[in-house]
Order: sequence, then structure tokens, then C-alpha cells
Amino acid sequence: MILELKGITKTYGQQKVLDSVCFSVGKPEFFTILGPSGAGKTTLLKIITGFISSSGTVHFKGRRLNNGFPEGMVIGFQNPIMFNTSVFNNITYGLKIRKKTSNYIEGKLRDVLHIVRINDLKRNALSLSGGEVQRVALARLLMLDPELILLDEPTAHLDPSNVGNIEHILHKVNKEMGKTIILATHNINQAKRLSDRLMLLIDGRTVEISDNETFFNKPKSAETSRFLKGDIVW
Amino acid sequence: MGVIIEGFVEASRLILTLDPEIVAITWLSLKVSVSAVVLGFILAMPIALALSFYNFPGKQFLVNIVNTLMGLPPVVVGLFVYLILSASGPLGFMQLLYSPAAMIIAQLIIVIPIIAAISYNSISSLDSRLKETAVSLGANNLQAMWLLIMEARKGIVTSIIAGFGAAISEVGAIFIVGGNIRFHTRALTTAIMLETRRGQFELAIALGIILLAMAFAVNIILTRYQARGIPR
Repeated sequence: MILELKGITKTYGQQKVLDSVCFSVGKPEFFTILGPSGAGKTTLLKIITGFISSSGTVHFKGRRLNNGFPEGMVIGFQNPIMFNTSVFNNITYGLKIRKKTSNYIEGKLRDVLHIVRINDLKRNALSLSGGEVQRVALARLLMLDPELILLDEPTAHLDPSNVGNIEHILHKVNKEMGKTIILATHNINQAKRLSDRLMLLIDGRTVEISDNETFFNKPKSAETSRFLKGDIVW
Repeated sequence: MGVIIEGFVEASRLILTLDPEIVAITWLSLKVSVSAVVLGFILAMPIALALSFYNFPGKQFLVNIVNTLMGLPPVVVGLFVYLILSASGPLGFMQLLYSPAAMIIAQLIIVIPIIAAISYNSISSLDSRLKETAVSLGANNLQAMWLLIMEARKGIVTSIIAGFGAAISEVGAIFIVGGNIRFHTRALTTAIMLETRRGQFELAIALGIILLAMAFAVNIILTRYQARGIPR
């Protein structure tokens, strides 16, 4: 087991945005947190990475996380921010600040570019299209050789062709590179295409955690069935 | 019209023959303003960074003060520095009055709020997710801070351009604390004022051309640097 969450509760003022969320993720699993907008998915990912504090515990590789960003874990945001410099500098930023040698960086870059196809490394990253930004953001994460990748709606604003590209990359990263992925999405079809296991999160509550087959074909919860049918409006 | 044309002709001759007085005035102006901007940058950046990266009681008040000081009247600065440096003032023993050092101090006081305010505004208007992204890629606080400075570099360079513009074109403060002494504290702006009053238009025009050319050249250099970006 690479990640384990117990009793994660987060309150903003009177509003409880996460209510005793518990789950664990094995290695190398593709785990999806599925839920409508405002369900608490982003908050949950930010709690795992230590950006937001909460009650409850997060264990990563058996070690309890207290504060600070854990090494071996990376997060990709919904609208990734590119640094105002070349694509190359963006992708290699994480290794440069770790003072890795240029030989090491070049080697890693070759491996990553083999998975995430990016042609023009000299281009300024601010001039990239939405799909290219997501690919560069993914490459930036993969360069760090993480064990766990958290992704927050990585295809939310992309056209179908780019969604297909990103999903293809994520599948390869999970199945070929053996990386554990936790994906937060509201996209039911995407969750079905990619996930080994899923958790349905509604209004900060865990509704169901099941494997792909059970979740989509024989859901344990009536609420899951209603969600999958589109009866739960958000 | 004839006076102006004659003035320009004579001014061109003075510049092309590198008239010793013009060279001395230009060199002093450049020395004083560049020193003020370099020192101002060194002193203003910690203020801009503290305001950008840390929350502390009275922060908004300090931001308001810095913004207000951007419009500080130079003659008031001159008066203030004069009182401090005059023989009866607290720093009178340093005997800096009517020296280039006094002129640098006066310009420094004018330049610091300009660089601090513009740099602070550039950094604080960056997307807050930039820092999160840097941290998520493994950056520590210092590395994240450096990244944000790099991202705000255009605004920071703008602050230097604005600071230099204010320093090189300043008259009142350096006139009061420098005294406009020939071959010692006579700068481009104070010399233009003096020569115009004396009716020496050719010299005033020559100095005016140099002042404009200098401001233009510095702007071009910094703007090119700003557009090209800083390699990381």
C-alpha cells in the first residue's frame, strides 16, 4: 500500500467540505476520485500533498505525513501553470533545483519524451495550447520519477482529441512505467476507461469505493447508481 | 528660430569635440544616478520581497506608505537630506553636503519607493498557483521565491527603468544638496537650469540632448533585456 487516508475531515467555517474520508491505494494502481464539481476532490488532493491542513491522517509509504511536500509524490493541477521560460526549462525545473547533473537530466528527458511526445523544447511555454500545456505539465511531473501521481481534472478544458492523447499517456504511465495514479475527475466515462478502482465522493462524503467492474456494473450503493444514470444533478 | 538652430549647431559641436565640461557633467550625472539606482535596487528589493511573501501586522499600512512615497516631491527630499547633512544636522560630522555622495543619498530616497512599489506590485499580481507549482515540484521556500522573482522580472526591470528615469531627470533635490558646483556637483539637469538662466542656450541644448540620449539608451538596453528574459 502506497497511500492510506484515515478520517480526513475538513471544515470551512460552518461548512464541512470533507467528512471522515478514508481510503487506501496500492501500487501501481489507477485510483479515481469521481464526483461532481464541489464534491471536495481538489481539497482532498491538496490535503494529501500538505497544501491544506485537516483532521485525520495521511500515510505515504507507511510514513505519516505532517507538513511539507512529500518526496516521491507529485500533483498536477487542473489548469497547470507554465513558467515564463522555455518548454525545456519548465520540464527540467524539478531536477535542476535538485542539482541533478546535465547527463542525468538528459537521460530522464529522453525517457519522458518517449512517453509524452513534445517536439519543440525551445518554445516559450506560455505560447502553448491547452493540450500541449497538459503534456508539458505531465512531463514536468514524470521527470521527477515519482511513485505517486495525483492529477486534478487534467482534461477538464481539453477537446476530445487532446483528452484521448492525455488518457493514452496516463494509461502508459500507469501500466508501462508502473506509476500509481490518483485521478480526480467528474468525467464518468474517463473514470470508466482508466480506473482500476474508484471512489465516489459527493458533498465531501465517501459514497462508494469499488473496483471498476463493480462500480459500473453492480454498484453497491443506490446513490452510485443514481449518479451514474445522471439522476444526481449538480 | 535662429537661436534654436544656432544652439543645436553649437551643441552638436560641443558634443562631437567632447567638450571637457560637458564630459564632466555627463559623467557625474551618470555616476550619481546609476549609483542611486543600484543602491536603491539593493535596498528596495528586500522591502518588495517582504511585502510580497510575508504577512505581518501593519503590512497594508506599509504598502500604502511605499505607494505614497512614490510621489515624494524631490525638493522636499532635498530639504530633508540638506537638514540631515548640514553642519548642525545629525550627520553633519560626515561633511557630505555639496558632494556627489549627498546627491546619491537624495536620489536614493526618491528611487527606493519607486523600485519597491513597482516590484511589489509585479510579484504580488502573479498567479498564486505559481508558488504551489514550484513547491509541488520540490522547491523550498527560497527556490520558490526566486522563481516568483524570475516570473515578475518584467515588472522588476520596469521598476529599474522608472527609478533611473526619476533619478536622471531629477533637479530640485540634487540642486539643494549638491549646490551645482562646477566640475564637482554640477549634473545635467542642474547645469541645464543654470545655462538656460544665463542665456547659454547652446550649452543647455547640448546637455539636454545628452540627457535625452542617455535616458533613451538606458531604456533601450533595459527594455531589450526585459523582452529577452533572463536565462535560468
